Amino acid sequence: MIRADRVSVRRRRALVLDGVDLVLGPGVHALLGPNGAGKSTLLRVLATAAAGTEGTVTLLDRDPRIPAQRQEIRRRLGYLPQEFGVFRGYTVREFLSYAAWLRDMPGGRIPAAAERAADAVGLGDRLGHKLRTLSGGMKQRVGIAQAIVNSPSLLFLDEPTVGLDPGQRAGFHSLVRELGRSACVLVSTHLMEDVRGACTDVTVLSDGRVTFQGTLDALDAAGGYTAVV
Amino acid sequence: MTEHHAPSIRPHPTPTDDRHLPTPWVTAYAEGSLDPDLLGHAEPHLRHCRRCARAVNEAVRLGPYGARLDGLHAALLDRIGGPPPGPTPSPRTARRPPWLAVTQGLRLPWLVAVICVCALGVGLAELGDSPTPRILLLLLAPTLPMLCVAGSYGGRADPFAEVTRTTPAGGLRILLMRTAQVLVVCVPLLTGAAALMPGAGAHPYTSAGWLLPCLAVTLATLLLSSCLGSWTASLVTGGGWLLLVYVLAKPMVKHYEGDLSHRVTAALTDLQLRFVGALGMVAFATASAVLAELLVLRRHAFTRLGAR
Repeated sequence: MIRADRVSVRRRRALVLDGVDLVLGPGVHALLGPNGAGKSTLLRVLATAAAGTEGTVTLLDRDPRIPAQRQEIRRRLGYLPQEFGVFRGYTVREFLSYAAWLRDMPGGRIPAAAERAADAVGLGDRLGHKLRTLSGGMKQRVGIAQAIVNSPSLLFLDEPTVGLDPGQRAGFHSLVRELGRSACVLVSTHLMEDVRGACTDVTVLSDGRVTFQGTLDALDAAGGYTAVV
Repeated sequence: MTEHHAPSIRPHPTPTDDRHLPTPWVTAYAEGSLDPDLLGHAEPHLRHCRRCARAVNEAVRLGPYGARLDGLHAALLDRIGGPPPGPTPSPRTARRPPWLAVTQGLRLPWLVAVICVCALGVGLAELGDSPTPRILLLLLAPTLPMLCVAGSYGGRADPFAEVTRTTPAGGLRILLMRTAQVLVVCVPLLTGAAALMPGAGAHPYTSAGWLLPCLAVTLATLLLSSCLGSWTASLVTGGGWLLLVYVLAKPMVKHYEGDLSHRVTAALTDLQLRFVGALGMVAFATASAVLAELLVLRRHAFTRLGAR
């Protein structure tokens, strides 16, 4: 579903990603790494928000550099950036409907999709609430809901559990495990709890390079996260 | 803040003691590859321990057999009469159509700014009974709508832009909808304000004479924003338009007599009349047609990877 070959990203003179190779299929994959390792940049490249300086990316067997194929990928993609804003005057329902519309969902399916996404993140009872009235954790859940509103085949979540309490994190883990049964979910996180709770395998980035890729057991066998960074 | 927990090989989900099966056992059991020697210990335990049984279920769902089980489940449901009813949408559907949200970012201050420009122009013209404010408004008017679009949505003004650029609607389509919305607000306001101002014998059509130049400037800005970003593009075309007015009006100033302000006003009025004349209209219409064609050709640049 995701294939990255020798992807590099250069920003000004700094090499943010350095020849990243990645092959990911269905499942929930964790992206770990210290601050500044290039996790968000890799997610942006895979989510078609940014272009790599070198290398090729193939998503859903399509080439994002070709306009028609790029649009097909984007219809089946969900993305939660690390920092995102919302239209504060909109209700949860209106915002999720807008996110579904942006992803070319047929108008007739939008209301049900918005409700399903809100239910999935535990905001089914807040559909009519304005976004400005929601707490930080609830806004984060709205962010997750907008990313899954189109039932994406590719889902990129950048630090999705920031601001969620332990109960909500557990709910999030079971949600992404469910999504990962058919979709390819890539979750960037700092919390090993997220990895253990939801992910089937781990990719560790350090200084823009992939330093480990494998199952959680293999990571433990290799001496744990700190040993491979 | 980075948080790292010590590695653990306890059963899934969150074990606390040694009374449960280790995770490698659970995974191996779910995949059918647990050593037969260990199987004798694992199976009696699984018959009694709900937590480990749940962990095995979970591992099966996440493992290689999960997709096959899903397929069997779906096929079974098809055989017995379709999928179970999903959550039914509540009768309260969205009050606004979702596409209307593309215009959500229009900032009130920009609307107020356009209204103020119009009101100030009308007020000054009424006070002084001079054609100068009207002419200045008409010459500035083509640049105002695109500055409104850039100010309301360009740069960091759209809080949702990072997600929007990864969606199929995030390119030229959304930009055209936003431009149309700003034009719907600005065109009647500016035309109405120009019509209300004393024209001192000006051609009656001049209050609408800025519309074709506005179309050309708007299209040029859209075209430029495919490579520069909307803020820079609107500043470049706005500056370019004012430069064009200056270059065209400068030689005309010499043809008039009186003090400088009278000569400038007379030259700008003359320029206005030329804009609404046949030659001016043909020139702006041709430029607009060419720019529109170029915009169509450049449409994919708005959705390219890393587009602003």
